Amino acid sequence: MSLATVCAWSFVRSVAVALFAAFVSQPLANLLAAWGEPVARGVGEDQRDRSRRRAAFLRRGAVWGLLLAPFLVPPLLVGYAYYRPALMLVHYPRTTEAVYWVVLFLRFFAAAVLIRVFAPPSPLSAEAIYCQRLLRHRDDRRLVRWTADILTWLRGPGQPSIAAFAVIFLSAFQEFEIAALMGITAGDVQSPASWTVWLFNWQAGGAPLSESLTFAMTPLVYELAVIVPVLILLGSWMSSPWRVEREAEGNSRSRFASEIFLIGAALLVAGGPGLIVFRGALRGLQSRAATAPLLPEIGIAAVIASTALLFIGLLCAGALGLVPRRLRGGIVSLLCLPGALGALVLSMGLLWLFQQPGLQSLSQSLVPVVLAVTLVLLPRSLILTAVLGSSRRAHAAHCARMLAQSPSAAQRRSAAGLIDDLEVRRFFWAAVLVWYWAYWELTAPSILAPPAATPFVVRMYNFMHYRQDDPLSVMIVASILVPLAGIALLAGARRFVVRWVL
Amino acid sequence: MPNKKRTAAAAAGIVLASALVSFAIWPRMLSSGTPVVNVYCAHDAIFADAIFDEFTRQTGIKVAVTYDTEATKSLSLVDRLKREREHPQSDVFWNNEQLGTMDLAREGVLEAYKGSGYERIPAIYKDPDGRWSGFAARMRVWIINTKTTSPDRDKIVAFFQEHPERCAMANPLYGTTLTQFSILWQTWGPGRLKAWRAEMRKRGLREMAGNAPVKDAVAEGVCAVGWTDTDDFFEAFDDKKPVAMLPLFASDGEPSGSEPQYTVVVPNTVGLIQNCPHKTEARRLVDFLLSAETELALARSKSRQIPLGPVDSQKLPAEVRELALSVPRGYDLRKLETPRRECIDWLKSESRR
Repeated sequence: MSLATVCAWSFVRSVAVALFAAFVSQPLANLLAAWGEPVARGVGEDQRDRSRRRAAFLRRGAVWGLLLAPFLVPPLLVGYAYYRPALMLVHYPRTTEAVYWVVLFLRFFAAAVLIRVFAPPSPLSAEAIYCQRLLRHRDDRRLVRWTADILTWLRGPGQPSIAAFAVIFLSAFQEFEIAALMGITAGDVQSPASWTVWLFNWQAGGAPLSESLTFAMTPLVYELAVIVPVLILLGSWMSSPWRVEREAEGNSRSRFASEIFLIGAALLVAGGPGLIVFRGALRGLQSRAATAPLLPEIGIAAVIASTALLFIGLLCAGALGLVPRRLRGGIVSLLCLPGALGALVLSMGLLWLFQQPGLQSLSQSLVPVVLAVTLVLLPRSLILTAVLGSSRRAHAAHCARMLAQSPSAAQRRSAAGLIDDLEVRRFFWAAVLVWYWAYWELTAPSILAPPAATPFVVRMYNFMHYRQDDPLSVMIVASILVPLAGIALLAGARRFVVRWVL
Repeated sequence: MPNKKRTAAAAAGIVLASALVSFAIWPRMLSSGTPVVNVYCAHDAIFADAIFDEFTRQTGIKVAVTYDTEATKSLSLVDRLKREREHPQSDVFWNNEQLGTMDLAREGVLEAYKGSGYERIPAIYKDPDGRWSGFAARMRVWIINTKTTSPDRDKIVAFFQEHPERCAMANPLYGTTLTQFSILWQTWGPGRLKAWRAEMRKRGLREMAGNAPVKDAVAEGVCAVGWTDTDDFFEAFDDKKPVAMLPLFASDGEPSGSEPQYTVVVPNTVGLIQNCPHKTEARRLVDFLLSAETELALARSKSRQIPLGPVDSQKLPAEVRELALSVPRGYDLRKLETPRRECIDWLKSESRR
């Protein structure tokens, strides 16, 4: 199958998944908004109020956990879990394709929900739209009325949907790991196809890099065909000074349906892989079939992730904190552009770059892979930083900082706790999230990692192609638990460090 | 006081950041002083790791390995070595097949070296000029699900022709399936191979991502018969799946008895990289890989690689002893340089359509 055909098919698939995710995310965002309302706390609170507050807090945590679980499970594990079901469907390519669509949707819909929850609400209120309709001439033709309605929707209430659609489209269109492990091919006979696999195979087939990069132009055109109009549409949204408060909607039935959906998605995309891996690991440990847990490779992945996190932090702080407001949009777009190309195309471009005479000496270092991971994660990280910045409680934080200057040690301790709650904790967990994405990044290291510095994820990907067995499950669990232990230690130490510094 | 602590915290942060950046720029700083040899390895990491560990234990030389992924097969390493020809980063190339290594030798990437191991390998499995040598081979085999089909050669060959929709093979653009296709290109001729593939694809022959998925598909009963390698077969066999194997002959598909029955023996190959940075260490590793000790270790591993040179047969597992009988009947892959190139060009032009 030609690249153009494979790209067209991948485009159709990604558009369908993105449209559906943008549609389904609305009731889920309402559900989260409803759970996000603060639970009253104050003088005269009795035991029943406290129990209600605690139950609401736990339920809110559970809903967020269910929403984020499919999004945070490493794609490698999802592909690993779905390898065997896909194999059993080898005679049913349409069913395999359908399963892949469902997996893509369940994995990425959370991003659409998050965009709806955290992005600025529509600049046009329902009242404004109603008034606009009243002002229309009665004898306007139906086509004119529809066009006006669509334009209003695009300029107003449709903007979060457009943003959600664009992010899901890009994620689904650039997806590689799950497709490769599920046996989605480069368009071989009677099997579903993905352009990422096509291009990867073409490159692996010994083609000159320049030829592969030329081929990368075709998917790039598809991506730009979506990104450019979306940026034009959203530009007015982000710069509009008018903001209408979002209203939490939803009756108990839609809330129940949303919760059931979240549980189903979490079970299919996170629970299934988790069960396979942890059950296998348990059996592997019992039968002592475990092999070495790839500790050096885990260390290399941690170094790559930490260095990338360092650069991402500097770039985000610089772009969103130091750059003048009028230049900010341009700088942020510029920083996001390489990442928007996707890890595959970006890594191939960097491979070419670091083969040039002046930069060749760095090709055996971690610089290319760190650079690739940094650029791949920058768009997500910038969004994350912007969201955290916009929800920052500046006045409270300022007061806490003033309190930290107090001569009283007790007051300084209280201030440290407040600053940790208001500022440090949120950025700490955001950094952990970015680090986690970098740690599990596969495509960039598989193309750019130098000899003797292969991160565990590349080795694991290699093993996952051979088999699905207990020793491998032990390795996977180790790769999950070792960094988790480190993160838990850091999280525990964070409050003490803040107190010590203040 | 808090200011001092802030300064100390900032200093600690800067030191940590500098350490990270330094390591990123120079990842080998932690192993400086230790002799090292850089290897590009297309063999399965799960088996090769043990061999490298033993080499390091015996010699004290650290082995820095870049493995290929199953998805990219050996071709991406071959391509990488060609790109790095002017500034070689690797010292040794351990390929899991022969034709890609021959291609590298032709392009002048490999350096002649006839060490102690070279002499013990039969002539058919090594380059007469010493630029590469084979060792520890796999064999192409029919893998058969015994619940659905009986492992009888004539029946299997007929079944494959009659029911391709129930059979599987790996994408022929890579690995040992490419070797097999190159043989067919030479023995059948391009026209017949092209027509045969088009016909089989039309009738539903499954082309999977690699030999491992072929093995899994047959072991799980999704397909009845497939083409794979001995190491993949033994994985399914060890997992107690209902599978049997038969050696695949280069002439399978021909009218019975029309040609001598050559087996398709695909050796691992090793070559020294021209102008490599650690030549002394690299030569020691090449000798080690071509030794009887390594061949025995790989034969006794779960992949049951077949020794090409003389080894103590009493130390071989029974199934490898049996497979070793096919080694003298192996097809001479050294004649396949041109067919392979033409075959790749054809397969790539097919995937562009």
